[in-house]
Amino acid sequence: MPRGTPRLSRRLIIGLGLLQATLVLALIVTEPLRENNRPLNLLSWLAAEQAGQILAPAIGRNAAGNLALQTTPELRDYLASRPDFWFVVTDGDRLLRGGAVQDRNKDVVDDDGVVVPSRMSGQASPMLLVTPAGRVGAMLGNAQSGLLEGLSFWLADRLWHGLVGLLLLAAGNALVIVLGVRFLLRPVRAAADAARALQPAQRGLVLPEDGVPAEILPLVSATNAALARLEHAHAQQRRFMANAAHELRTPIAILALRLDAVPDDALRERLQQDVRRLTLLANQLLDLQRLQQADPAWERLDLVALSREVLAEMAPLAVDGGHELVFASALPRLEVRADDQALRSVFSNLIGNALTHGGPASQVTVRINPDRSLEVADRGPGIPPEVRDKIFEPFQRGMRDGPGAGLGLAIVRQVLQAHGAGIRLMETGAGACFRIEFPEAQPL
Amino acid sequence: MRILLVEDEVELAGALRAALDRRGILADWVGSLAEAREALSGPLAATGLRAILLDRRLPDGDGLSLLPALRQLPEAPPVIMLTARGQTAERVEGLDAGADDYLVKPFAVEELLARLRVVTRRRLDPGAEPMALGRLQFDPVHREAHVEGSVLALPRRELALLELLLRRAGRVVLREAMESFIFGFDDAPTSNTLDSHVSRLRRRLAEAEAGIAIHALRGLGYMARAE
Repeated sequence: MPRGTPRLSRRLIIGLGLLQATLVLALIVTEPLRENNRPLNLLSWLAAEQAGQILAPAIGRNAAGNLALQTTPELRDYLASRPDFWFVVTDGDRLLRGGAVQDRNKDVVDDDGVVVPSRMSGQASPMLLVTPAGRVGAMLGNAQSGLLEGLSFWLADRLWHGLVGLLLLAAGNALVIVLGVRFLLRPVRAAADAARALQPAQRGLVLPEDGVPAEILPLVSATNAALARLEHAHAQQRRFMANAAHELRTPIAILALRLDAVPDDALRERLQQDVRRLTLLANQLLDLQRLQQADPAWERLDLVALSREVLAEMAPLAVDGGHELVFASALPRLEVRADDQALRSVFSNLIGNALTHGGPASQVTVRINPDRSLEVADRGPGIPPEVRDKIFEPFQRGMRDGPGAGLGLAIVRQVLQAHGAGIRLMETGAGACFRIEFPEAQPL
Repeated sequence: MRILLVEDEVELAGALRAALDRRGILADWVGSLAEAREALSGPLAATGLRAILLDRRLPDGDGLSLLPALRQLPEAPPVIMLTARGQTAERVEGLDAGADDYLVKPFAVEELLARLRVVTRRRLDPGAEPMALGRLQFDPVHREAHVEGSVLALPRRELALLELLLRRAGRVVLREAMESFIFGFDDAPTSNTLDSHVSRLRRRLAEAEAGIAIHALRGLGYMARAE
């Protein structure tokens, strides 16, 4: 997948995460507003919250199990800076008091075990604290704080707790989204696999629509409709090509026969060469059309005998041009599933190219290797590196200006592809060498 | 030589007749099955047709339907079918139905002539016609080679080689074919005995100024041509 392609699951995770973070933040920020048993005095609420948070860790128990103050540095600092601050803590049984001195004889404990100090000096805030000694009720008096200090203390505390919750939520989100998206998009993946396997020569191209989510279904359906239109156009074009190639043969046949009347031997020979090219091209177009049919009539052929025959047929042409032909096979037989005429055309095309472009008095070799590959090599100037990648493209003539150029190698490659075989140009350092690799012979 | 051409494509037929005419071959031309039947039952059959060139796709049916009637003739001429490319089934059907050979359109005149020579000779005594290449004449009946009238004496195997090469003059004769032709079962040919026979034959032909070149094609075989 290319970088920068948006991922559905990532977007969902980020979107949902942002939404949840906003909600949590809103809950935190509106906390003072939602506290029902407190006066809406933000500053005193903040101060009490701060005092509670500092006090809670210092409330422990002694060996007898009674509440005991285990002073922390934070509490010590807090008490030192606020001489009026006092607190009373109770677990229901015992009282623990600290801070500014109070007259304990006048305390009252109400039914819930909450201590109501006798002389409330200044403001007092009741609250529940979670301490090392367990949950305790507390009354905090004269807790004071600056707005900034109180706010930052409170936010730091809440955000820390909020953050942990958020992270847990985010992990949960990610898991559900990743698995969910993967599950929901499974049909889409199946459609993509089907699309990847599509071959241009295939008939009835269609992507599976079963189970594709409704949001994505229009894309798959539209693709299927487009495929159907393409296939129709492709079939039409193929019919046209077949007809054109077929129609070409009669004029070519007439031309070939009329050439016979040309009195100038050299001119006639040249024109006959041209007609051979034309014939080869028309034949290959027909071959291709035939091989791209739904069910070509394959034969089981011996590549050794077939390629040797084609090479032998080219011998008069080679000897005329002062060239040498060499045939070498590492195998006594090589069975391939092929179309006889189409394969012969391919070889005569390649050998013809080699004879034309192999330079004067060259040597053209057809070699069959043990790995089911066949090579056609010449000793000419070779193919310039800048056109090497393009010689199999239609109408890419490059150095191969002459018989078999233009459409020649493009058709050669297509005909071979129809056979399941590949062709490539080898780096040899001397001359051009085309290598064809045949697959194992499949059943007919 | 006189032949019958059954072909509905007027221009093709015209060009073909003109090309054959230049080679001294007279081609009578009909454009349909009906005309062909008429011609074969009429006076044409009596004139000694040497061959029939038969197109398969005719306006009034398949050219093959002519074959059974043709076989009834006392001296049925050989038939070369003119077929379309890639119709393997058509080709096989034609040969099964009794055609002697086939030619795929478009074809060169030389190719047609070669096929004509083969099918017409097959009907006579195969291999009995004298052969000539360069300044050399070969008489297969007496198995004698002459250069400009004087006999070229050759050992048995070299003579056999020469005959084989002359029969396929201008085309490659594969090594295997040559070896099986000149060596009996009792000989165990090594790969260079063939080559040494060929080089001796080559030398003798050069000495006699026979005007024949024997080209070696490595991994394939040899090819004889006029120099």
